[in-house]
Amino acid sequence: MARLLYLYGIALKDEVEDKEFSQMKTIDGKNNVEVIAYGECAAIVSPVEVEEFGEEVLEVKTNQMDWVQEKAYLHHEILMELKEMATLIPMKFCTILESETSLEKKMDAHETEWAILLQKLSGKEEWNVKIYNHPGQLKEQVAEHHPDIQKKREEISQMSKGMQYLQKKKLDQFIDEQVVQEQQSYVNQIHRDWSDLCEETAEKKVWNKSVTGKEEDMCWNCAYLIDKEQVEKFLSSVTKANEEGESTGWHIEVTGPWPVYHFSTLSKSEVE
Amino acid sequence: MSHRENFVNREIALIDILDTVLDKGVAIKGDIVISIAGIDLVYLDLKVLISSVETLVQSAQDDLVSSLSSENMDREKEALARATERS
Repeated sequence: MARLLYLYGIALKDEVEDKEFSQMKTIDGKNNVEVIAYGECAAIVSPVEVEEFGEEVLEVKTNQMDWVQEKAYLHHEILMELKEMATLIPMKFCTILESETSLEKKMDAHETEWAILLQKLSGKEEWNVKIYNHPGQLKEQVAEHHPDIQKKREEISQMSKGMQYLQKKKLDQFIDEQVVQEQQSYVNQIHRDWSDLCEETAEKKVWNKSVTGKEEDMCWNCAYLIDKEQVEKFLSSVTKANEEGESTGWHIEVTGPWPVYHFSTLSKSEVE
Repeated sequence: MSHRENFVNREIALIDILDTVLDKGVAIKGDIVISIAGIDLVYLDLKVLISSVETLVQSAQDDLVSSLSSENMDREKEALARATERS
């Protein structure tokens, strides 16, 4: 049976040499994790079979969402475990190499760059922050306190019924726009504060409500690379912001530490 | 309790994991049997997602994915169901 290699990540050889991986889960649940050293680095892989992870099979399987979910979750779980054992450059889901020779070719080409990146990532953690806002309170605040709105309201009250209807609609729209502006400036401010505590940040796409299933608007979705020594400070700032923002509908969700998925890109975004 | 203890290992939504591992991490070109081009979850058919979440709930009960608590899956399933009702 032809043997492919599923690549989980790259670590420094010194950090993984004497570690025990045989008890770890693997993507196919059959073969064990293997460590293939090359120069200063080591690739963490497990063999997979063509029948399960070959190109043609994967083309079908990656269209089956249940398979993708189960395996992608497993991929993540394995990377979470690996990251506890060593500084890790995490690979994307289903990074599969044809043979040990092709892996060695990759290692040969990128080993130096990977070693530098690993040294840079050592002692750092990735945390993910999502900021939600229930616009109700902000809307009320804007409607009651925005000077332009008070003025507009008075103007509208002097108008004819038909005009009033139209102008009120316009005013509602204006309020909504102000709320979005308020949300943006809140997020910008808080992101600036947090950025000071971080090594790097990676902004992610905000999800719409049909994806989050929440009533709140997602206003911010971002990954932060933080030195372990700063994490406590960062999280304390998040906790404080959560307490202070509650009354104006803010809610901050933090998850982590993650494998450094967002901060492992090399000088070129893809490894040729 | 430190803030870290308070936040660490909180349950992560499945959708967050999918969004990240399918899209982020190092992508290597060439020699790779397949690389899944960033599947954009936002455009995934939610119905497909729900049916597969149901499958996962089933497999969680079968202890196949033992670490995914079925309670969590139920919550996500509800959230997704709400989302499709609305759309």
